[in-house]
This record gives sequence, structure tokens and C-alpha cells, in this order.
Amino acid sequence: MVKKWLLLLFIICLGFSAVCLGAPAKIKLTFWNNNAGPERDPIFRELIKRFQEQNPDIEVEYVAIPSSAAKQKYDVAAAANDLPDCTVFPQQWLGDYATRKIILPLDSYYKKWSEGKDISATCLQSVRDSVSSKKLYMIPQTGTLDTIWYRSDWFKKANLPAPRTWDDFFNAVDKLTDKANYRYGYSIRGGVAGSYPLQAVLYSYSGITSFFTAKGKCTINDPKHIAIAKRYLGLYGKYTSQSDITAGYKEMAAAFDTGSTAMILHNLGSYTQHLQTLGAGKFAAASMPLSLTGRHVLVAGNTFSGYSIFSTSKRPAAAWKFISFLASEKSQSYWNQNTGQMPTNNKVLNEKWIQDAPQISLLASTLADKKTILVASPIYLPDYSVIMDQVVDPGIQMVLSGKKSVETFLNEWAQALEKSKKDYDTAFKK
Amino acid sequence: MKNFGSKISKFFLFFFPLMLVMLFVLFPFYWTINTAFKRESDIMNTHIQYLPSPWTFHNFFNAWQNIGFSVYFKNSLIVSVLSVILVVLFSILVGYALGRFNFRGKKGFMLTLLCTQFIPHTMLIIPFFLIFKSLGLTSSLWSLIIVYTTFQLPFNSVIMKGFVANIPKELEEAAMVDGCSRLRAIFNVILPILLPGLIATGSFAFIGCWNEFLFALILISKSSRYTIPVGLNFMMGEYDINYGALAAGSVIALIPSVLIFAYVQKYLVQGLSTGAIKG
Repeated sequence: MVKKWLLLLFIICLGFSAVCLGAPAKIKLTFWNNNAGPERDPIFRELIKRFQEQNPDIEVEYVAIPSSAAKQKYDVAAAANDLPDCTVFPQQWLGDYATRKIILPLDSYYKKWSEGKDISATCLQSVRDSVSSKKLYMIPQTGTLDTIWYRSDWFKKANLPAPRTWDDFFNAVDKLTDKANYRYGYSIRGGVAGSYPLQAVLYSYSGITSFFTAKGKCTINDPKHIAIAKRYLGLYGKYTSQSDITAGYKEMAAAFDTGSTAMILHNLGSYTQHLQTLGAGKFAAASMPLSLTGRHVLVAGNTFSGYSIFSTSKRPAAAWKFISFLASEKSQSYWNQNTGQMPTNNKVLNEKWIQDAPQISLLASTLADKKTILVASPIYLPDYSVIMDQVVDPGIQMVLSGKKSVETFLNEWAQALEKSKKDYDTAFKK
Repeated sequence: MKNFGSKISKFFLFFFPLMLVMLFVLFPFYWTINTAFKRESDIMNTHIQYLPSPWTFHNFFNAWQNIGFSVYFKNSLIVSVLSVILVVLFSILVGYALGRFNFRGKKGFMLTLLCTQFIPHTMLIIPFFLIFKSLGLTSSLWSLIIVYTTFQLPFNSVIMKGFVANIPKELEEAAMVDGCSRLRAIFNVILPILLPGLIATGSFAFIGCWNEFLFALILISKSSRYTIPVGLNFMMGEYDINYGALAAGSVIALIPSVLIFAYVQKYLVQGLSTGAIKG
């Protein structure tokens, strides 16, 4: 009897072993999306499905994180050493995470990647410039540039040209303002993150190509910047809604999409929303107006978003396989076409759908123009975001409400950046 | 004439201010519900629609089925109900101890309970995360239940102490003379009288748990375990806002709160005033 039981037990164990050995364990990856939403989630899920079909040995868990508190979630996970394997996130986080060695340099993987040569060199350089070591910590998959969205139907009716120069811009603001009918020529972003569009306006007007001189002096308070800031912020109240002083992206976009304002300064990311609400043919995109030097000068810093691998990943090779799939030609084409953004892959930039999307082809051609200059914003400074949020954003509101002069505001901004750079240089013994 | 004058003054001094306040309170509800039943193209239309035309249930279907509100709702319900049960249970015991006994350090303990309310919860995120990580509870709904119980317990214990102090000690003494243990006296004699207090603390705890966003996002890293506030945030991408689904999701999120408050309203007012005066 005992023998029979032992035999049964042996057979069961044998069966279990066969099952366990027969099914090789899948590699499990966790992927975080920092900017989840109803539009982008299905796109990532589809790409993951395609990847898993091609790589049945790898299983990817997709974690969607709402953008409103994404940075906080990443920071807590980093502090607790509980990060996922890989992620998509914006370029502006790179400097901080690379300094803290939270993410892996990808140079060695990139060199062996067959599709690496197709990624735009300008995009790669911008991403490298975000970190002091100039190593590659991110494979950019999409880019967006500061864009002036304007109501092309209103411009046509008023017989105005698209804003190609700053004079065109200010002239259109003046002509299209009709306060009696609650219609304004422009909407200033005076609330959350208003510092970024203002920064773009300053440099794209002056044509200055660096935030710091060789001696470490910040160029933010250059006389040309003071002049354009006075003119630009001076639009408030006269040509804009009074509520613009607290307007963040959502309020600004809503003003444009509901027909309250003729122009806003944002980026390509809002294209889908404008299309859904206004419909095709009523709006168009323009690159930032030409600078005093006659070139397009664009501030880069939060221009690209892309894929990185966290240094805590226990499966970096599999993670690279996945992110290189996401950054590949086919995936970039699918992702960018569905979100209305600009790809970073040169082959995709030549696809037909790009030619059919005038806003993307316009910005892509601006970026490809050899005369265009990308000014690297100092996002490598660890407290750059803090300065933008806590010095510049409130400063804009003080200027708009008449409590501070433009000169004082720009001087304070410049001093904050100079101090931050000095501290950074000292820390890294530059 | 005098009667007419008094009616006029009553209207202007009583009904009119009430109507004004009601307008401010109800308008956001009306607009949310109105938006939830509109088509996406009508929501951002420059021509304002005060009533949906045509009415559509698409936003509710989209939020519930496609965006995952059915899952978020279930998770929120599990977390909130279990947290409320724990909060009420423990706050009865703490409230009873504080209301009935005098012990060394009682005042200091009360002060500590109140002081916990001054600590910003954000400061505690990393310590909590590390604790749950070591316990293997990250991305588990239990982590939220423990956090919510911890946050809700001090304030609700103080409120409960007020209710317990208001009940004559003789009632449970009589029960104990008749052979009840203290615990049985609490649950068989005190508990039925405490009903308004239980409802007041339970409702507050429920609303606090139901609406909490930050910990629900930080501690959970699996989309299938997110709760309703996180789900609502999904509708607000950096560049795209699904206003219809957001409004529909808000209506879905509102339903339990409205139902609870409609049912417990009378207990709540009675309970709060009792707790406040006798505390």
C-alpha cells in the first residue's frame, strides 16, 4: 500500500517537473507612461501587443500614470528603489535623473542598434545636451516645438498674413481683438508653466543662442529680452482676457478652442484637441516668428520625449529590446500619426502622412533648416524646474498685475539661474 | 398689509439668500450632469447648450467600459468600505477609552491625536511607501486601506469621544450589574445609542477615503488597482482632456457620496452638533 502511494507521489512530482520545465518562464517587464490619457493609452497598448506577438518570451506590464502627479510618483519610486524597468518621459527630467544615476546610459546599446542611424542627429544632440556628461540616456521618439496656433479663418477674413515675423504677430493681435464681442487677439499663459512660453518668446525674438555667456552671465535679462518682454507682457488686459493672469494650458486651450482668442503659443501636442473642437480648416500652425537675426531660434529643453531604462532594472537587455521596438520606424510612425506629433526618425519624417499634416511638416522643415538654431535651456541644473515654478511663474503674474517691472523680474530670473549654475559648476568642479 | 410686509422681508432675508447659495452650490452639479449627457462636439461648441441636444449615454459607456471606471469603482468601493469599517471600529474603542476613563497622559494623548491633523500627508508618502514595500504590499489595495484607516482614525476618535461622553455612564453600569462584560456592554448598550456618532464618523471617513488621490496614485502601480480619483485624472492628459468622459466619471463618482449623504443627513447634523458640544 505504502509503495503504491509512494509511486503515485513520484508520478505527480514527475508531472509537475515536466510542466515546469516544459514552459520556460517569461521575462516580465514593467513600463511606465508618464503622460497617460484616453488618447495615448490605446496607442501604447497596441504597440505592446505588437511587441509581445514578435517576442513571445517577453511580457510587458503597462502602467498608465496621469501627468498631473507623475513626477511625484517617479520621485517616490526612485527614493524607495522601486522603479520599473523602462519608461517614456520628457526630456526635462533627464538632467536630474542622469545626475542621480537613476537611469542607464544607452550609448553601448545604441551603437549596436541597426535603426539608430535613422534617428535625427539634431534630436539626439539635444537629448545629449540635457546632461552634463553628454551621454545618451534617452532615445527620443517624438518631438514638439513651440508653435503659434492661429485661427486661419479669422486671419483670412481680416486679410492678415500668417505670423512669420514678430511685427506680423503683434499686428494680428491688434487687428483681431474685438473686446466688445469678447474676442481677443491673443491669450497669454499667465498661470502654471507660463515661464516656458515666455522663455521661448525671449530667445526667438532676440536670436541669442545661449543662456549663459562664457563668463557665466545669464542672458535672460539682455536689453533685447527686456524690450520684447515689455511688448509681449504689455498685451495683457488690452488685447487679452483679464483671466489670462491665471491661465494654464487648459484655460488657454479652451479660450482658443471656444473661439475666444485668435492665437495661442503652445506646441504640437494640442493639435488633436483643436481638431476635435474647431474642426479642420479653421486653424493652422506657425513656427515661432523669425528672430532679429533673421533665423528661427527655438528653445530646446522640453522639446522631446523618449524612452529610458532605469538603472534598477534587472532585465536591461530585454528592456532595450522593448524600447528600441517602440522607437523603431514602424512604432514611431504609428505613435506619432495617432497623436499628431513630430517623429524623430528620419524615415518617418518622409512618410506621406507627414506631408498631409501641414503643422508637422512645417515644424519638421523648420527643424531641418540649417539656419535654425536650437538653444539648449539649462535643464541640467537640478533646480531649473524649481526656478521656473517658484521664481518665474509668480514673477510673470507680478508683472501682469503691475506690481513688478519687467527689468526687476528679468534680473531676478537671471540671478536665480546664475546662482544655480555657479552651484552646479562648483559641485562638478567645472 | 403687515402680513404682506413680513412675507416680503422673510423672502429677502431668508428665501432669497438661500436661493442664491443654492444656485452657487447646485450650478456645478447641473453643469457636470449637463456635460455628461452631451456629445463631445457639443461640449466645446461656442454655442452654449443649457440642455443636451441630443442626449447621449456614450460618455457613461466610454467611462465605464473603455476607460475602466467599472474597475476603479469596484476598487474604490472595496477600499472605502473596509477602511470605514476599521475606522469606525477602532474609533469606538479609542473614543470609549477617552470618554470613560481618566488615565495619566490622557490630555497629551488627545493633543497628539489632534496634532496628527497638522502634519501634511505628502511628507509621509516615502516612509509609507518603504514600509509597504518591505511588507510586500505595494500595489495592493490593503496598503490604501491601512493608510486611510491611519489618517482617518485620530480625528474620528476625537469626535467619537464626544459622543461617548454624552451617554450616561449609568446605562452600561446597569448592564454590567446584570452580568454583562464591559465589551458586551459597549456593543449591546452603548452602540445603539451611538448611532448618530457612528454615522457621522462613518460618513466623514467614507468621503475622505473615496476622494483621496495622491496615495492612491503613489502606492499603486497597477492600472487594474487604481481607484476613482486616479481614473478621473486619466481623463486629463497633458494635452488632451476628455470632457465628456470626465463629467460622466464625476457623476459616477458622485453617486455613492450623494446617496450616503441623502440617507444620513439627519443623523449627521445631530451627530456633529452633539460631538462638537460635548467634546
